Amino acid sequence: MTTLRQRLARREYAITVELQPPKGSDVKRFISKGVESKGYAHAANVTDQQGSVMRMSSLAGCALLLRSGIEPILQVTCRDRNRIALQSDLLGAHALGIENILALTGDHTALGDHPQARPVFDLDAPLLLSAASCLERGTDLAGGDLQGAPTFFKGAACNLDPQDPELELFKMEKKISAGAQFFQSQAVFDAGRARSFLKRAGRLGVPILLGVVFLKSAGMARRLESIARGTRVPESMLRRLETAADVRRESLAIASETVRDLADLVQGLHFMAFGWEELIPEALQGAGLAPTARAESDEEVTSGD
Amino acid sequence: MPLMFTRPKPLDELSALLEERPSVFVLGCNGCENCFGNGGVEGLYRYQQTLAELGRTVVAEALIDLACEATHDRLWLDRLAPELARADAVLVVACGVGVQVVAGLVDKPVVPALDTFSPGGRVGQAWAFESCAECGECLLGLTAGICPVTACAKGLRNGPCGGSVDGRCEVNPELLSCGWARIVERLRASGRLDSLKALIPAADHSRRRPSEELLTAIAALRGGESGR
Ligand code: SF4
Ligand code: SF4
Repeated sequence: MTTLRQRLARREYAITVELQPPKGSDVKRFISKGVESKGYAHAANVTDQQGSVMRMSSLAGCALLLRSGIEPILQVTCRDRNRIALQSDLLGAHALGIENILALTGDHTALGDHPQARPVFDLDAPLLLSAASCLERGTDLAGGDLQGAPTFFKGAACNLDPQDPELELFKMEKKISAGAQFFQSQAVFDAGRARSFLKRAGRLGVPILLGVVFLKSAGMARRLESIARGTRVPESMLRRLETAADVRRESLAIASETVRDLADLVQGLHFMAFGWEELIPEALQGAGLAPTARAESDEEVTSGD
Repeated sequence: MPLMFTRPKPLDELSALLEERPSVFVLGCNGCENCFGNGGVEGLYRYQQTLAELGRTVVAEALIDLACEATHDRLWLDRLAPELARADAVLVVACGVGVQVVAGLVDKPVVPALDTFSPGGRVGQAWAFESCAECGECLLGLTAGICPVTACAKGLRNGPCGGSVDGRCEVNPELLSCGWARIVERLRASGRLDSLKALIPAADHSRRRPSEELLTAIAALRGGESGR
């Protein structure tokens, strides 16, 4: 059983961080970011060519992290692979010791650096979750028997500040019935709205990790709304960043405030730091979730086994 | 647009789409050479029988010249408005284009009787936007009569992706509406939004292909060569 699964099952806080494999064959920086993450996170997501920008595969990235003793979460999108390739990668992941997965539909190829590529979308996020559940039951999507059934800890994405809360809840319910066992959310900047949504989403009974992004500038915040569509950054936040003497401090303050405001309604945090990973330990401290406390409880987990 | 063909939807699918919808209003289409062999009077007659076998009541039926032409549909829909009001669903015996046009005109659940597929080849480019991709397993009965295969840039089957914002599609928010946002809007307007919770299975791409039977018929017409 993965640490992530174990912690969430025990209702313990889980911290995850998103890492991007390199565009190229040099994995040094990627691995060192992974090794650093051991100081503050329980597991690291490896992105699957986020924004449809071609990079090293998330499967290879997860295998590299695992070798360095970091628990990986395999992000899998439906953009590039049909159901045959997706099932095959999932079987491969399990054989390599990768059990946490995050099933995503994926961005359209038109948005990335290879707009010429064919978009696949043979499955979508709920169907990918149900494909993973199907493999766990020992058969493939066509009903064929498997030699050995894998196990996964299956996650999905959600938006805690959605334009259409009712629709978002239906989408979450659908993902849960397809097999989702945890959610990692998009970044949240309006804690008030997210709070009222979380009160409803909390009833679904599946742990939610709150997405945290450090806004590097007002410009980046605006771009974020078009890159991570569905993310909403209030005007007041933009003004804070524009007028701040020290943008890093301000960004850290914004993140810590949001985390503090919502901590009681989520079961963990998911950092998407875009290069500012070194701020994470401070953000945790600012929110009263010191990384040292995390390390201690981690020992409890291992000694308990 | 690609050349279209139709075949009757499998009975179990049709029956599921008409679940808890006892009274059915049936529209046939006289166009496209009687909907490629499945429309016209014969089509209407066949579905009278099918609906009787499924235990459904036909409240009214009409044969439209071209179901894909809103003016033709309106003529009958207006004339039969009282019957339409009593129906639980509208069964449209026409291609995917016809079903979508009807679905845009009535506020009842619209159910496609046929699956539209393509044997290959193209006919004249009559429409600026493709509204049916001949997927061979028509989803219109689950998606408020708007085709997710063509109206969604990713052809998604289980609701909008995260890129759907303000009803616009992530691929080009300025120029493209999000097909799923339109489906959601229409489902909500008719109080059926919770139907989104049910998982629509993965596409069966084998149903896109013409049957052995049809390939053989085409081969015979082309002098022993199916062209595939
Ligand atoms: S779902 Fe769309 S593509 Fe498939 S038959 Fe119906 S209208 Fe055509
Ligand atoms: S934004 Fe809407 S139309 Fe575009 S890919 Fe997503 S669901 Fe499909």
